[in-house]
Order: sequence, then structure tokens, then C-alpha cells
Amino acid sequence: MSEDLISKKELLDLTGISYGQLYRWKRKNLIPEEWFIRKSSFTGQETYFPRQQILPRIDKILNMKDGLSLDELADVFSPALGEVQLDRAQLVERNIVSDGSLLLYQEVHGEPPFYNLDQTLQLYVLDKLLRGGEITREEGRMLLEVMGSHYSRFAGKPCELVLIRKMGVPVFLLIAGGTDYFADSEAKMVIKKPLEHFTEELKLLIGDTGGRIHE
Amino acid sequence: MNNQESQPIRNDLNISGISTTAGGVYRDVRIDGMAKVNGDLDCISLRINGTLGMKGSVKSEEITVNGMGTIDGPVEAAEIRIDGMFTLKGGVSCTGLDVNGKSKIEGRLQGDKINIGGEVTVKGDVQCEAFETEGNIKLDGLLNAETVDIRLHSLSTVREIGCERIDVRRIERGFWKNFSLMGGPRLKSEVIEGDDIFLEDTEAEMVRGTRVYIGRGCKIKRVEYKETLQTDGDALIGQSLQV
Repeated sequence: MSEDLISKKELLDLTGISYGQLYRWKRKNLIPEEWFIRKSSFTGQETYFPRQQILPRIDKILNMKDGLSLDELADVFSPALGEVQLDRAQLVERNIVSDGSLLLYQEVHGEPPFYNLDQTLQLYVLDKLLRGGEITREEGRMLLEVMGSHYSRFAGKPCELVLIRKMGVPVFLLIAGGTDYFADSEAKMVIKKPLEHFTEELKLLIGDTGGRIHE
Repeated sequence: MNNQESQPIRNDLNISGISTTAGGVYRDVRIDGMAKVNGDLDCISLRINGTLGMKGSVKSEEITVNGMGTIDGPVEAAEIRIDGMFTLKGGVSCTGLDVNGKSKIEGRLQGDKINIGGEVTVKGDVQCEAFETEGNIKLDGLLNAETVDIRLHSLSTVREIGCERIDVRRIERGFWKNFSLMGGPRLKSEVIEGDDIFLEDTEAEMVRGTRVYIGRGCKIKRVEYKETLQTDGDALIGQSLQV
């Protein structure tokens, strides 16, 4: 995987943030440690960042900074799930999931009295992929199963959701972040998304609408 | 949801004499003799006056070292004070760290306020809000702090500094004292980056900042600044550039 890198200097020029801000965000874990890539250059060591990831992240931090404190922001970007309790009505009312996805969820896992963030995330991912037309209902069922039984093992660490289809047979995978994987040439990779992506969006969605998030 | 398990009853552990023990959960741990602990230690306070050889990790609210020792595992504590000699082989995460003795940390050091009067070597990165030293430091990683205050006595090295405000000054003392065995007071670094930079007696490859002051005794290969650059006549600067 060859990555497009941006140097620290270029990044600061482009975004207009200062060294102090950059380092403060690093301390607050708004920018993950792995994104600081050290390489040697003509002036000695120089730090680079993955361009595709850092630019949208800085943009988000700058745009959300006014509403949220840095610690709250760190919470949004952390792949770990906090505690949240939402019931069925709230989920629908806040546009987090549609009725159809809820029904599918109930078929697989039954109906809990309320949904915690882990379960809400499953619903959210399911709903997004269904609505985007990326998966079928039958695949949605598989997705709920794989997330229900295995997502907790990642315990706040980054992980990727992968859907592979071969000759119409779908397979869902949850893969620890940063791992390489290869499949045979007939297999088609349909979805390959880091789950943090969904976690971030979901946390913002809940936060915006005043969901009860406890530390 | 939380704390289904009942809190364990915490006893005190006192070691005076020579003894080997497994780790465990304690309230106050006091080591006056020579102790070897073969497991993990979870306690409220840990006080070492003798010698401690520790194989596992330590979790404690307060750690005070007057003697010497080694801890192999990671250390998590609110306040750590080291007046003796200590080697920490894992990472250290704490709120406050005070070192007046000598200590060596082989992992990464994370804290809120770090104050060093003695001698400290850290192999990993150092991350904190306020970093203050009047001692002798050797940091092999990146020092990332909100404010960095360094008062120079002898030679200190930090590979890279990234901060909001940095202040490096020499301490005025007698003429002859400047020629100590450790060499004159100096800070050596590869890269120093920050918004407000004030340097004296510093040797660096690269200094980048918004408002930069390069004072007496400095030897800087390249300075990049955004708003202002002031230099002392006694400073050597290879190249300076406004970006």
C-alpha cells in the first residue's frame, strides 16, 4: 500500500494551525500516534502524515472545536464506544436507523429494552449499508451476526469491516486495523471500511441530538 | 453496570529485611530492606526506602522512592517522587512526576506535570502538559508538552521538542563553575518546534516557530520563523528563513 504523505510543514501551511495546536491535539489523542510517520530528509528527521487521513481530521477538529471541548472531541475520534442508552423510539426519531433495519435486528438478536452504543452501532452500520444499496437484507443478517459476536473483541481498537463476494457468496470479515490481507482473484471486495468511521459519525449524531452519553 | 465485584480488602505490606514475595492487592506497601516482588502490585501507596526488584507492573496512587530499585513492568500512578535511584523498564503514566535522584525510563513517559531536578534518561517519547527541569536530562524521543522550561546546569540532550512555549536559559553561577566535568551548560537537540521559542546555550539542527528568540551561546543550523525572529549578537545561526 503506497501512501500519499504530507510533511508537517506543508500541513501547517495548508491548514493554518500552529505547532502548539498540532502538538496539543496529539496529546489529547485527536490525532493518533500512528499518523506521525518519521522519515529522514535533507534536514535530518522529518515528520509526515498520511494525507488522506490527516486533512479531513484537521478539518473536522477545526469545524467542531467551537461546540465541543477537546476532551469531548477526543471521545468522538476514539474508536472506543462509551455508554449510551437509547430506546427504539429515540433511534427512529433521531434518524439514526429506519424501521426496516430495526425489524431485521429484532429478527437476529431479539428486542432489547434499550440499545447501548455497541448495539446502536450495529444498527447504524446496517442501516447505512442497506440504504446505500451495498448489501442485501440477507447480508445484513450476516453483518449483525458477525458484529454481534465479534466486534467486542476489538475493545476500542481500530478495526475494519470487509465484505467479500465470490460467485454471489458473501463473507463478512472484521479485521484489526492496519493488517494486510489478500484474497483470490475471483473474490470481489465489496466493502472495505474502517469501523471508526461509523463510530465517529454515530457519536456526532447522538451528541448533536442530546443523547445521554456517560463517561 | 460497573463494579459488580466487591472491592478487595486491602492489607498493608511491610518488608524489612530480605524477602521475596508475590505481588497482590495492598493498601500501603513499605519496603525498608531488600525485596523482590515477582508479580504485579496494586496498592494505594508504595514507599521504597531499601531496594526493590520488581518483575511485574505497578499500579498505585503514590510512589515514593528513597532507595533504589527496578520495575520491569509498566507503572501507573498519580504522584511519583524519586529521590533515590530507579530504573523503570516499562512505560510510565502518571499525573505528576518529581525526580530529584536519578532515574531511567525505558518506555514512554506520560504525565501532566513533570519536574526534574536530578538526572533522567527516557528512551521513549515524553508527553505532558508542563515540563520543567533544572537537572540533567537525556530524552531519546519526542518531548511533547504545552510548556517546556529548561534551566541548564550541564549537558542535556533532547532529540526533538514540540510544544507551545519553550524557554531554555542558563543559570548564572560562578565563573569557574561553568567548566564542570560534564561540560558547560548546553542543550542539544535536533529539532525544536513551538509557537513561542526562547533559547540560550542551545545547539540544534533546526528551530521552527512563530515567535523566535535565539539568545547567547546558541548554535543553530537553520531557523524558520513565521512572525518574528530576534537574535543575540553572541548567537551563531547558519541560515534563517521567514516562512
